[in-house]
Amino acid sequence: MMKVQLFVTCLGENLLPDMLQKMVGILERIGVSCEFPEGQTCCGQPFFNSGFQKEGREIALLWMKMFADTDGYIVAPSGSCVEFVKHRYPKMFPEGTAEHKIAVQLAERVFEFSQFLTNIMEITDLGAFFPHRVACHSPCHLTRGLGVRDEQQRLLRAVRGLELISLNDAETCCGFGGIFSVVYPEVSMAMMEAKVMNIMASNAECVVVSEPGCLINIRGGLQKMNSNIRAMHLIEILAQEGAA
Amino acid sequence: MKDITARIDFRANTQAVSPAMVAATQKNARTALLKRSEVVVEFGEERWQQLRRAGRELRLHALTHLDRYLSMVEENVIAAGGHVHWARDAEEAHSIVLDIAMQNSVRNIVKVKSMVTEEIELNHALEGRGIRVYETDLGEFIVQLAGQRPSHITAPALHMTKEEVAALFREKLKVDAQPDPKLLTEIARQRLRKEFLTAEMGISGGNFLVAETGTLILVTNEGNGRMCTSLPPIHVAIVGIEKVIPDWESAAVMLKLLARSVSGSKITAYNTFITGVRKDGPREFHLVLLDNGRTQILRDEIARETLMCIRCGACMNICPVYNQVGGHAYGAVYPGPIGSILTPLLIGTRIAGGLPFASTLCGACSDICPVMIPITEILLHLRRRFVEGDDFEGSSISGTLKAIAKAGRYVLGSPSLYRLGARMGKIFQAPLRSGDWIAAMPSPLDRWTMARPFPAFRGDFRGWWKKHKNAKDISGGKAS
Amino acid sequence: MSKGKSAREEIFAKMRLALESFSSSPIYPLPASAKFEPRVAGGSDEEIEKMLREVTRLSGHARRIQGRAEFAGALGNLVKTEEVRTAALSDHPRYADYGIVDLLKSFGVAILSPDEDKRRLEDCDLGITIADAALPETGTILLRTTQGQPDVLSLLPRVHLALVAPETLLADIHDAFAMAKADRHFVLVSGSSRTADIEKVLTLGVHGPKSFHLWICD
Repeated sequence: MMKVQLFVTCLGENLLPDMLQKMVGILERIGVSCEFPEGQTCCGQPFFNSGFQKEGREIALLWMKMFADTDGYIVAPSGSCVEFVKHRYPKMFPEGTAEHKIAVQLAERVFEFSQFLTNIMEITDLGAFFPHRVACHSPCHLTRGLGVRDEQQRLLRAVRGLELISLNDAETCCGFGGIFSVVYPEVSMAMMEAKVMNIMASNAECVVVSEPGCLINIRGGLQKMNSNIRAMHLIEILAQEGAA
Repeated sequence: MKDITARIDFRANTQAVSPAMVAATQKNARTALLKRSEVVVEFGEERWQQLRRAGRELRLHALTHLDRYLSMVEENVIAAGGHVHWARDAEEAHSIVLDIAMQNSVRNIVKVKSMVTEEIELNHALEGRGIRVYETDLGEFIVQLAGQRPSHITAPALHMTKEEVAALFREKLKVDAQPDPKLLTEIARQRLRKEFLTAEMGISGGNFLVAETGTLILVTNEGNGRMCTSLPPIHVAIVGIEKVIPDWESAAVMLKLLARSVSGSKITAYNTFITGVRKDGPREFHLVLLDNGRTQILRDEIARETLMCIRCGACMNICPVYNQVGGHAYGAVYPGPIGSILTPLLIGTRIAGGLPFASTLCGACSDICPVMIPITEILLHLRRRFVEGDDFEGSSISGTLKAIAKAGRYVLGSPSLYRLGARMGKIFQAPLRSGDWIAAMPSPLDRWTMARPFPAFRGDFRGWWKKHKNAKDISGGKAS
Repeated sequence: MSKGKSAREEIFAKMRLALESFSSSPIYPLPASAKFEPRVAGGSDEEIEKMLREVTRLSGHARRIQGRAEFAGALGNLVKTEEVRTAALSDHPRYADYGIVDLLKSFGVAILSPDEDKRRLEDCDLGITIADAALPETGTILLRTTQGQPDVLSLLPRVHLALVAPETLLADIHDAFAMAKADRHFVLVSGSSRTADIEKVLTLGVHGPKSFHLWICD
C-alpha cells in the first residue's frame, strides 16, 4: 500500500488544521496510508531566508532527523516548504558529508500535494463536487520554484460543477514573502491589495490559494474588504464530495 | 554613490512615494512587458531560452577571464589610436576626465545617458570646475533640469507627467511649452542642437566592449548617442570593467537579447560601433575603465554573477515590489531587483543592507533576466551577509533582532517547546480574538494586523490525528 | 603617467586574485553553449517584403523601387513632400547608378558634400546614403561610415533617405558584423530616431533625422 509521511508545515498545523484533516481524508480515500512524524516542527525556511542561515540549518537538521528514519513519500500542502527541502537542503551541507547524503535522499521523497496527486498517484479526478465560479492564484514557490504549473488546473477541471475562471495577474506575488510582510508592511499591504482587487474583479466566488502563507495573507485581505469571496486551499475544494 | 553615507531606509522611502509615481511606474512596466512578450513569442519561446542560455554563458565566460579580455581591449584600442585609462574609483575617474577637459580647454560637454557616470556622479565633479554638462537623452535632459534622480534605468523620467515637463521647460528654459510630448521633444531637440555642434567634448558610457577588436558599442534610440560621439573633437567613454564581451558572435547574442528585454523592440534605432579614432570623427578617443568596487564583487563567487547585468531593466519591470514603490525608494542609482543586489555590493550592507530584504523572493526577476542572473540566490546571500556577516563584511543586524531569532530557533528546535508554544498562543490570543480573527496584535506583530487581520489559532491537528489514528487502528486500517 | 600605471596594476592584481579563487574550471576559448545559431534567410522576395514591413513598423517609410523611371518619380515626390532645397551626398560610386546628381539638379536641389562644415549640413534638408547591407529580420541597414559615407550624412539632415540594393540583404546580424567589424566606426540604423520618454508617447525625430525613408532599388 502506498505510504505517505505527513509534512504538515508550521503555518498549516497552527493556523489551517481543518485543511490538514481534509488532506488526510483525501489521501486515505485514494488508498494512501498516512503517518505523522510527531517530532516535526518547521523546515527552517523562515530563518534561512531571513538571513539566519545558521539557525535555519539547525532547524533543518531537526526536520531531517524526524523524517530520515521514515519511509514512503513525504507530502506537504505547501510549495514553498517542499521547495525548501527539495532544493535548499542538499545545498546547505557540503557534498560528501552524511548530512548531505540524508538531505539528498529526503529531497527525492518530498512532494507538494497537487504534484503528488497528479504526477505520483496519477489521479486528477477525486469525484469532488463544487458548483461555483473559481479563480486560481499561482503561488510563486509552487510555480517558479517547483515548476508545478498546471497540476492545480487539471485537478480543478475534474471537479464537477466547477467553473474555472481566469484571474488577472495570477502569477504576480501576493505580497506575503515571509518576513517581508513584517519588515516592509506597507508595501506588503499594497501588493496584497492589488491581488485582492484582481480577485474581486474576476467575478469569482472562490479563489484557490494553495500555499499557507499566501492563504492567510489573501484570506485576511478579503476579510478586511468584507468580501464574500472565499479563499480556499485546493485541498478544501477537492474534499467537497457530493452527487454530481 | 559616495554621497550615500546614511543607511538607506527603504521603508521610510516607500512611505514618501506619490501615487502618481506608482501609476507611472506600473504603466511603463506593463507596456514594456507586453511588448516584450510579443517579440519573445515571435522569436520563439524555446529559441529565446537558448538565447538566454548563450547570453549567460558568454557573460560568465567573459567574467571568468576578465583580465585577459580587458588586456585585449586595451591593446586594440591603443592600436586604433585611442587612449585607455584605468580608474580604481570615482575620484580617479573624475581626475582623469577633468585632466582631459583641462588640457583641451573644454567648457561645454554633451553627454549620452550612462548609468555608470551617475554611479560616480561625474556631472557634479565637472560642474564643480565650471564646466557645463548637457544631458542629451530626452529623459535625462528632463531629470537634469528638474534636479532629480532617474527613477528607472532605461526610462529615467517615467515618473513625470507631460504637464510637469511642460511646467519645467517653461520655468527653466523660459519657453512657451505646451503639455504635448511631440512639442516638448521638439523644444529639447532645438535646445540641444547648438550644443551638439559646439561642445568641445562628448561623454558616453558603453553598453559593451568587444575584446576581439576593442570596439565600444552604444545602443540608443534618439540619435544623441551618435551626435555626442561623432561631432565634438574629443570623445570620452566611461565603462565599467565588467562590460567586456569576448567577440563579435557574443555581440550578436547581446544585441538580440537587449532591445527585446528593455522594451520589446527587436532592435534600437541606432547601434554605434566605435574603435579608437577614425577620419571624420573625433580627433581623440579616451576609454576610461572603471573598477569602483567591481573587482571586490568579482571575488565573491555567488555575487559575481551580478556583474553579468546588461542593464535592460526587465527585472524591475516585472518586480511586484518595484511596481508598488517606483525607483526612487531604492535610494541609489540602480533600482529594482538589480539595485537590491548591486547597491549593497558596491557600498556595503551596513548602508544598503535593507535592500536585499525589499523582496518577497517571488523569483520573477530571475525568470525574466536575459542573462539568467540568479537574483534570488544573490538576495539570500546578501541577507546572510547582513545578519551573520561573511568574509566580505561583518554582521549589521541589531542585537534585538538576533535575540528574537535565537528565541524562535530555540522554540522551533524543540518539539515539546514548539507544541507548548502553540498551546500558549491559543491562550494569549483569547482577549484579542473575535471569532476566527485577530484584528489587532501588540507591537511588533501589529506590522501584520495593520494590513489585514491575523487568523486565530484554532483546532488541534495533533489531537485530531491521535483520535483518528486510534479509530483506524481499532477498525483495522479503514479510514474513519 | 605613474599614477595611471599603478591604478592599472592594482586593478589587474585584484582581478587576478579574484579569478584565482573561482572553483569552477576556466573555460577557454568560448564554449559552444555560449553561441547561438544565426537566422536562416527566406527567399529573396520574402526577405524584401520583410525588410519593408519591419522598417514600416519602426515608423520609417519603406518602398520598393523598380527601374529608373520609378526612381525619378519617387525622388521628385520626396523632394516635393519634404520640401527639400538642399541635399547631401558622398562620393560613393553607387549614386551614379541611380543618376541622383542629375535628378536632384533637375529638381532645383542644391547639393552639399558631407565634408562641408557641420553647420551647413545641419541646415541640410536631405541626406542620401547607400546602405552597405540590410537586415530584414529587424529592418536594419548597415552604414560603414569610414568607407566614404561619414556618420553625419545620415544624422544631421532633416530627412534621411537610404538606398538599398536587393543583393545586399543579409540573413543575420552576424553577417553584418563579419563585413564591418574591422572598421573603425560603423552604424546600424533601424527606422527613425525615436523616444517614449514622456509618458510613453512615441515621438519621432528626437535628435536624429525627423523622417527616415528606405528604398529597395532593383
